[in-house]
Amino acid sequence: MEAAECYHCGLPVPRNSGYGLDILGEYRTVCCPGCQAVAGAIVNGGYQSFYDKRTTLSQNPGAEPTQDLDLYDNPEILARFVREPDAHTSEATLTVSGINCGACLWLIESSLSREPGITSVLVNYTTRRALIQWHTHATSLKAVLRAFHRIGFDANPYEFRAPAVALQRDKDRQLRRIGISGVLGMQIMMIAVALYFGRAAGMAENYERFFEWISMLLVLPVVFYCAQPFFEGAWHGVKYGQATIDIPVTLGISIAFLASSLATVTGRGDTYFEAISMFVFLLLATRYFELTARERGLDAVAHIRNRMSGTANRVGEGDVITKVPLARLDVGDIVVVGVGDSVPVDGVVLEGQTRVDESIVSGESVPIVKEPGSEVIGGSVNLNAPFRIRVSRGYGDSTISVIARLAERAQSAKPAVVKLVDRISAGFVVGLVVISALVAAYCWMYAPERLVSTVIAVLVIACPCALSLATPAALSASVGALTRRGIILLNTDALEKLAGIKRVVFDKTGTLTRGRLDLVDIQTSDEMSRKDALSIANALEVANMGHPVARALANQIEDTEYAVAQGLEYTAGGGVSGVVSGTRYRLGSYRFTCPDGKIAAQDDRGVRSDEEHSGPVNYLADESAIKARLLFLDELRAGARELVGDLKRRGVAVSVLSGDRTEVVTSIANTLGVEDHHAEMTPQDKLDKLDDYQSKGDLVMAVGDGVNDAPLLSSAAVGVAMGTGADLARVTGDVVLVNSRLTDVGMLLDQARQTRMIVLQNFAWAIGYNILALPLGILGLVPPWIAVIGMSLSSLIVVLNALRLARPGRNQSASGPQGASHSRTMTGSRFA
Amino acid sequence: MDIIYLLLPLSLILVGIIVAAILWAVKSRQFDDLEGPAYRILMDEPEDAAPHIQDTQPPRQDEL
Repeated sequence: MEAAECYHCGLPVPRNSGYGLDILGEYRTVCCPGCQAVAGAIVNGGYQSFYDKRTTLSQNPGAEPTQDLDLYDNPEILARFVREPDAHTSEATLTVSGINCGACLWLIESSLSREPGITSVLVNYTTRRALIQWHTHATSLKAVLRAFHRIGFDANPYEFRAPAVALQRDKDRQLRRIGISGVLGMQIMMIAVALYFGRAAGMAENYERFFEWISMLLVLPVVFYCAQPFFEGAWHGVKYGQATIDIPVTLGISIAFLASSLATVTGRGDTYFEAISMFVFLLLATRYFELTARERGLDAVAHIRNRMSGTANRVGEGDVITKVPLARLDVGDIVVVGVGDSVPVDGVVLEGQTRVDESIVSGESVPIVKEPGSEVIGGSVNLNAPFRIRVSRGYGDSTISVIARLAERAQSAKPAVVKLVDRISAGFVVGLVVISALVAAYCWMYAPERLVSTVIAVLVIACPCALSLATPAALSASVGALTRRGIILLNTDALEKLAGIKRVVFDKTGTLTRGRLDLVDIQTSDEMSRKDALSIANALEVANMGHPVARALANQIEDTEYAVAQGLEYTAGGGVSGVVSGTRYRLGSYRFTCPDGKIAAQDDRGVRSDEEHSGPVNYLADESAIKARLLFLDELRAGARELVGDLKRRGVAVSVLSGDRTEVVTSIANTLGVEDHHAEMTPQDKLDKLDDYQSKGDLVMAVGDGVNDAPLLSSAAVGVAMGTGADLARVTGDVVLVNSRLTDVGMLLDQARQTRMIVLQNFAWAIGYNILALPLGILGLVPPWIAVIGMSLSSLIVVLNALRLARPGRNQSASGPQGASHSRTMTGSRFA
Repeated sequence: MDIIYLLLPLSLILVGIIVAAILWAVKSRQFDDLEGPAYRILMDEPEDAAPHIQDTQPPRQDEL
């Protein structure tokens, strides 16, 4: 059966969900209470034409905001985000996720501006940020964030950290420089045209002088204000002995300016003012593009950081518990960790006994028992009972924030290719300066009349700008395109390695399957009907809706009346037991339901054994015998089959390494057509197998859920983590697929291959150009203004070529909508 | 051709005005969002706004 799609977010609607409402004159089903609430709020607010206007589906809002909003009751935290321009007004900048098209912009601005107390809403579509102002006494930041969540957007306050503020100031300064050099440059060029024609037609001497003086006046701000960054860069380079590209640029500009000014004052010689202003303008413009790309990267990191801020329950004097921001926790503080909460920072258990799930941090998926005295890692999740810890490491040093810092470092670190290019262009710069000096010496002796123009031409035409732009431009265009599709590169080096991937290794659980179960069969002993078995099992699980088994059971229950269980007891990794109409039942694994083997002997009474079933199995037993077997199947993730076929077509080997039972893994592998599959592997087995592949010389990409597979992902050449928004900050690996779409893996490989191709093209062009242009310049065949045009055109070609990567190309659009429609038909199918 | 002595300085004044305009544009953040206005101009005011929403309009500045 094909699952219906949610009208709001497009996710499949579970059977009998019962959620839906009238939108635009028709009844539409939605998938969950979250979507129901959001769609309801949008319709009731009078904004249902949003659904008409939007061009893409909305994001799933979830039932609760991703952050604990009570955090913003704390004045200390508020002060970090809220500014007060005057006594009655507060304002905050929020990063908003879920803005996909112009209609979102309209919905946010028109509905938020009608919220009581909000005076102004301004959404920046480019940066996905919103500037909100409100009356300080009429509403609060918390209410504003709630209002965002109500219409289906996840907003987080944006803290203006030092790097972001500096970047903004830097950008403004660059824009001013570009604008001024552009306007003045145009004016100078206009005069230059008059001069060219005038000289050819025999212009009167006094007009020529006048034109030159005006040009000189106009070029002063260009040289002394707009070109300042190049001078600073060159000075920096000289001081630290680095041959930066700014050195020939500065030399070119200074020589041209000095010679032209001298010519203007003395009235003898040529002027090159137009060449100077054009050069400065074009160089500034290319640098601005680079800066914009960097800003996008910083934004991605800001999102990750925002998701991580939270609170801890600190125990103060007299056992008073207060919520404090994580950053304020000090070593020695005592913190209470509730059931289901994550441990805020690293610490030592003081009181309480529990099990914690450390898979987020260590990749170990088996819950670990913690007693007073044991150490707990920040980020692990408390499973059984509340406990108290004494903080042993502050937030800044705690394991989880280390990961965010890694992401930040990846953003600012230069990829290896770029470093190589920098070295090449540094060599080029040194060579260029030496050659210019030789040319100058030669002209000094034999052709003094063309000394200045030749030296300027050489410095400008052979300036390795295109060379130094070739790689970074391609990389940032590519990273930008990937980020927009929800593929985040934590490590830019990965893009280069991806182009050479020879084998893809999947970790089965959570990667190829959805982790969402379907109940396919109930086999019962003679004394129990299937209906009763279902009813009892559901009663035992109903309180545990987070578990896939519970959801699969609830999907099957048709009546609204079902049995009620009392005295529920959970055993981690085993199952649940409880009393239903006077009898104690156990539901769970075989080992859990008949722990002492006493029941096992009676197994056969109508309940067949599980050998031939390829999915998870649960047993239902009373105190004497197993009464029923519940057979489940795990659905394949959308696009899994297409991806495997796609990889094989590319000649990439595919392997499945899994910790699951052999039957399960074999069945999945056969459905997908994967020959190389291994079951019942421990994490260590997986690592050994991976080393085995890599030692044979294959570059291996490992795809996992990023939480349980951390070691596997980090030892593969490229680790790809499938992460949903909430645990984005916690994943390891080089690449994160935010939307958990398997088809994105193919897209990633495509993009990497194209990037490598474009980089090679750019290299070939830039080096070819410089090798060709340099002799022409040396021979004095090129006047400075042609040199400027040549150099700029060459850089422009490189940048435009790189920008082809940012645009969704043919390949990508083919794997986009088409792939999506494929995956929809896949959603309903099973691998059984 | 002596008119050039007047026209060229006049053009400098024009350049000055344009430069001032650019400085103003950067300062008033005109370049921040180059995509949003293109969408914003296409979206109408919500026509079917329910009346109860309008009741809860924010208090005006002068009322506070």
